[in-house]
Amino acid sequence: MSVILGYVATILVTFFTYNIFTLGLNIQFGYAGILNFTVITFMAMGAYFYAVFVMPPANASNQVFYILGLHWPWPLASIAGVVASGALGYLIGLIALKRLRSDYLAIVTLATGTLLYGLSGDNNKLFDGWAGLFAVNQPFQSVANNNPNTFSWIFVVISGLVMLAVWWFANQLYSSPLGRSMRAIREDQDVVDAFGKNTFKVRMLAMVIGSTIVGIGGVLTIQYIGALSPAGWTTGETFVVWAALLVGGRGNNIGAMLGSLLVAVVFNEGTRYIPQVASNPNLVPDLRNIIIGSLVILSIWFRPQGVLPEKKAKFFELPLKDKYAQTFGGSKADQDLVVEV
Amino acid sequence: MKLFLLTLGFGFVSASIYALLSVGLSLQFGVTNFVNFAYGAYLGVGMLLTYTFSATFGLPFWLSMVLATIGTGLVSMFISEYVLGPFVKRKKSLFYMLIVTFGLSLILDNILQIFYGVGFNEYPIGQSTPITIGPFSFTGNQLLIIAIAGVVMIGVHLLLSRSRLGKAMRAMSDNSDLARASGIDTNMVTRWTWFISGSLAGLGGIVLALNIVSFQTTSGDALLFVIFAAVILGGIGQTYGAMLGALIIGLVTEVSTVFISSAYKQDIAFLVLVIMLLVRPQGLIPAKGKA
Amino acid sequence: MSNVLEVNDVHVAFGGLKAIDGCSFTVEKGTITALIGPNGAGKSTMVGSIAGAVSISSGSITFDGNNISSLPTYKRAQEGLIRTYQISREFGGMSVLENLLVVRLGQSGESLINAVFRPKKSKAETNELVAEANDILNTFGLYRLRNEYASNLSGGQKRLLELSRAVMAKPKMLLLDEPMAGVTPALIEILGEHLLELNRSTGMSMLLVEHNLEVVDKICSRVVVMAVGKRLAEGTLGELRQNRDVVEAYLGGEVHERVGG
Repeated sequence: MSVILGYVATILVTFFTYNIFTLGLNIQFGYAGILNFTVITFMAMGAYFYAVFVMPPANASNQVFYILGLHWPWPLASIAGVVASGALGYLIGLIALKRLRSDYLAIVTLATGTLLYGLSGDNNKLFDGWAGLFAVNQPFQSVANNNPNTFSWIFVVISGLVMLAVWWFANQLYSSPLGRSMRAIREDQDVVDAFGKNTFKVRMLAMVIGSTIVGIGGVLTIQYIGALSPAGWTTGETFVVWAALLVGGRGNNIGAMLGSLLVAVVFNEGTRYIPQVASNPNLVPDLRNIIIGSLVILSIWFRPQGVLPEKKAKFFELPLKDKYAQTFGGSKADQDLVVEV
Repeated sequence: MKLFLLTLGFGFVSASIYALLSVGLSLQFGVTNFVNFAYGAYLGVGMLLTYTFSATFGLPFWLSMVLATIGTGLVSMFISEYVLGPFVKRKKSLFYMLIVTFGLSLILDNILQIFYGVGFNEYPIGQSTPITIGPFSFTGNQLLIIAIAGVVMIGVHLLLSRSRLGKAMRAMSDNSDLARASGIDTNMVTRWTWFISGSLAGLGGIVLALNIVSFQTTSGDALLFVIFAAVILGGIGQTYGAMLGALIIGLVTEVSTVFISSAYKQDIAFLVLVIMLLVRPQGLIPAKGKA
Repeated sequence: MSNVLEVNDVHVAFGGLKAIDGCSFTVEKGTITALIGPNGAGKSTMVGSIAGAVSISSGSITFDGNNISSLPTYKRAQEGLIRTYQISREFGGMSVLENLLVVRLGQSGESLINAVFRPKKSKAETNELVAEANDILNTFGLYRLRNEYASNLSGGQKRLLELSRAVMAKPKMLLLDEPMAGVTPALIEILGEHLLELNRSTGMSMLLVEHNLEVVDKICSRVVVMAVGKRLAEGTLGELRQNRDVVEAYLGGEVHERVGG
């Protein structure tokens, strides 16, 4: 029984954290049309920086090396992790969000991801190289008296609450004038520019907000698992988030949630327990990645708007002021609209 | 000074590899006007096909190289015809084209991994002792790499300047609507462009494997941003710019090993990319309307 | 100071090609001025360089007394200089009403803090804008399509949306790059009336790139003629019809027919 309870808790935490990643990407891509091809790097930034802020100084006698080791209390370390991933988003934005084609931003995100991945693995002075960080302080472990199930369920509640907060935030942003500017930029940046909006600033906001949110998910991930190594944030993970968003519905936060459920939980977790093929131990994970990649491509072919398309904005409307009759040619124009051009 | 000259020599080897790769990427970008994020996986295809032909089938190495180069070209053409082409015909926006090629990279990488695993492979050829030429020192394979790149660059130059196909490619690169209106069979040109681009990626992958000796399926992906750096440095979509960019990136990354650990030499390419985007995003040789 | 726009010896070059080669003209405040000329005269490039989409290599552009030559596009728009495009560029994935709402500057909900944490204030503001936008849409005959996706509109409806969106931005001056391009004669007449009414009721200045001389005759008080990147002549259409250079370069037989007929 307790095994099942623990498993259900892990599934829920996975769902909540992936939903946070997908919401972050939705603000970048679904709202503002920003192609972030290294979503998972921001997760790793959040997680690693939380770890090196919360852990005590590295103990060289254990052959474990990492930077900082400030031993801060976990709430402060969490903030540090989130700020770090937002800052990375800001830096990438500075390089690539000027008036360049969207290719360049995609290239810079991908290049940054490849670079940081290689760097964090090859250089074991940063985050302990390929071995990664482990035994990272987990909040509420003491409250749970080190009972794994109690801890897991406390964490289900915590990550669920954080997810709801992020979801609320994303929805507030979507329907606001700022969110509307972001979506207009997605449709045609030049025109938004020509109407007097500082599109660089608006896109930068979307970039940083999205990165920060993914970083929040990263902090939660390492707090729950207590460890992270480069094997935990390969490019394949970025695709899971993309597939979730595209399948669910870009621009629609409920769609993003549905996509995380279908792709990150049902598909990804559901295939995790398919037995290994002895002659080719990588066959199952490889096939899973092939399916994820195909999901991305096929959803663009068959249903680019996703299962739940973006909703049309609704407004509170008063009836028209009775200006209609006085307006010159108003009715005339209306009749003439049947004239197709 | 001696060390500097020695690394300069290695710089020419790297530049040769990057030149093959960045010209292939740049040609295709010029004609189709979108970046192929699956390009890194094409390197893997060439690299590993050569391994199959030479190590598994026991064909002579030179023949394996030729077959693998053509094979990668065919794979690239096939993907363009049956995967990317339909999306282009539906006039999907640039966003979606980029996401499609990005998704394709994951699929190709994992297909390769199913066949070749995640471990390291080596070609069944011996490593010759280095030959000293003046201040430089090269292995036989490295001289071969420089020779191949030299021949191919001349070939690309002749293709673009002399052949009808090359002229059509340039016309499409400048303005594809105008090219179509003036009677160029743009479908045919696109098909050939993907074949050439894929072949160059495959060949580049093979010579990369020759240079690093042991390689794995994802060795090409790790190099993708270095190729991007060379292409953007030269001016995206500009073939001669790509050659120049490759030369600079090759020399800079290798010479940097005099000052920093060679583990980080490719990170220097990233630095060049960043500086370029901040200072001169249109590249050293800007192309009309591409930035 | 009665000139809202002064273009002074502007040069624009693309590579070796001189698209604009020392062009000067002015637009008087509160007038509708036409910019006409044969294809390739540089009219669209001129509109682009006034709006900031094309950078000029020399010369100056003064708007409302300020030299705007080196301002980025969005700052020129903030000064009250709004353009429309020759080919409609609607925000296709947004509703017609949202197309209008997005362009109004200075909404409090454009700041992140207000957007997320003070939605009430922002919503009240938006409600007012919705009423205003609906009024404009009504004027342009798009009211019943307000909740349609802009991408679903017909070509002519998109031209109307392009104009209503520009009006929603409350510009001091409108740069209209062939607003009648590809529009039926019936709609041309309506659009012309709209522009004239807008100019009369709000005093909005306009620079109108147009091929249709009937429209120019009806709504423009002054006409600037461009040819091969230069200003060829300036005056009323009546004066220009007497001008031999203009008639030869551009007006040609078309005018003779009309004048004669």
